[in-house]
Amino acid sequence: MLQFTTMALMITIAMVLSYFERFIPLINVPGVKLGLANIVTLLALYLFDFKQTLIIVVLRVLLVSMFTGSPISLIYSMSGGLVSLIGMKLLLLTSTKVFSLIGISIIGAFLHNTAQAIVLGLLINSFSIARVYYPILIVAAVVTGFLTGLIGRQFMKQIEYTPLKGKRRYPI
Amino acid sequence: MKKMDVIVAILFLMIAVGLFGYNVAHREVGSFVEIAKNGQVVQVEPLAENQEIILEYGDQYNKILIENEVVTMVDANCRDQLCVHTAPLKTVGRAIVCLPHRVSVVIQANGTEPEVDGISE
Repeated sequence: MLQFTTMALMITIAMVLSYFERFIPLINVPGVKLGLANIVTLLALYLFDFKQTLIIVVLRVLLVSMFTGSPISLIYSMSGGLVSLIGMKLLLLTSTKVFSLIGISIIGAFLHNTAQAIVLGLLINSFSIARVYYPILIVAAVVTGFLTGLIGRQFMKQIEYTPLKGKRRYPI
Repeated sequence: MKKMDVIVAILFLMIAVGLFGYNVAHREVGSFVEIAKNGQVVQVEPLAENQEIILEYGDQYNKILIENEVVTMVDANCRDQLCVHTAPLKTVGRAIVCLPHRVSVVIQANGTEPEVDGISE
């Protein structure tokens, strides 16, 4: 029951973060976002198993697209969300000795933006645009991945003072 | 934070700088504007000619302005308005994308007229 309510709460928090991050001014490049919802994906990866994390990510993307997006933005966020989720899970399973939570967050953001650049190229049938934006997207991924990683790490430390104490699956 | 975190971050930044350098080295002033809808090129216009292009598909509306060899999306009734806020274009490969309407405006070095009659064949 604790897990079930925590999952529901995490989807809600991720949705609210996705919605409100658009009001934080950032450089004016399409596709560059803070990716605050990624904090929730990170926490879910550390606290729940893969299936539960997948449910959280998929529901969050579907619900946010339903309320504020379009079918195209759904394809976009779903591909980015799933690719970064799978990538980060594989890293957690294999490389926690090499990477900390922050490194995994940076790689997750990189995978997210890479997937979106590829989807953009596929959707409009030309990679000339993606090629120009991709370097900016990579820099943005490193910066936002680092920031969300920092916040995520702080959350993981605070979680030891909540009923979720001791539920962490991987070292941070 | 671990050492590899920093190494990976630096590696990503190096890839970005490398790609950016590649793009700059291959940047050239364009001569044609290619307008595509749903991935299909619908219109190719010379950059030298000042004109206003209006795309209307159903209730989806985009207004593109070519002026002094610079292209801007001046108006659109799309949801996010990202295309309208995109900076003006003049070099090859630069583009304005209106994802909600699946419209892209790309600068090309040289253009060929699209085969509009392809569908009716």
